[in-house]
Amino acid sequence: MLKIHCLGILQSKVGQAVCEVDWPQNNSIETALATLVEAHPAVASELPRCACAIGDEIVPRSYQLQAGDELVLLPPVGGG
Amino acid sequence: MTTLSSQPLDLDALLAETEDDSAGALVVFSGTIRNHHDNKSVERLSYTAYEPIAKKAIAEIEQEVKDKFGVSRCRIIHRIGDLEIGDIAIHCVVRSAHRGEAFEAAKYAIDTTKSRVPIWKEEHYSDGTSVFREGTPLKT
Repeated sequence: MLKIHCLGILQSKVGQAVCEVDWPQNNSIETALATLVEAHPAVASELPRCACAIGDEIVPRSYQLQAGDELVLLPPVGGG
Repeated sequence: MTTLSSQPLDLDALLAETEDDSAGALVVFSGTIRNHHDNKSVERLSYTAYEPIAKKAIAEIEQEVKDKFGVSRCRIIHRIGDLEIGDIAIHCVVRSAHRGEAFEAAKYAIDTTKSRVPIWKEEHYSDGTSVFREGTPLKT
């Protein structure tokens, strides 16, 4: 299973801070996100504007997930 | 150095930390919680952050501000958690030899923090509703 951390507005749409989805074929982030949308359709409109992170690094969606990775979804930011 | 805090922000500590006898200018920007937005009455704000990247991003911005504007000090600290009207959400402190670059650097520091640091704010309104404020997508 892959843990996906949903922050900001995503957490409110999903109703929880962390989701688990089946480990994606080809270790693909895009596949993992498609699985997340199947379980939580409300996030679909938000995902195109989200960045992805692993640990303390922002990664492109072409990143190949590795064992132990947890995917963090970062919606548009706006502190201050 | 503290860059995120769940406790009320201490400006005096930040000023002490950034003391610099070579600096003739000190600019402080403080963001406070206001009681309205888009004609709606705001009761409080909730700030959340993805701390591993937020702390790193703030440290990078502080260094970037010093390099870009030639100022001697730049410190940014952001509050997270539930804040009430009038509470301080952020301090940006810049010190430099002269005022011109200090003003420019402080503006850059707050603008860049708002657009590059993974922090989110949810506004809670008097009518019981709440909304996450629209933000800026992070560059990947």
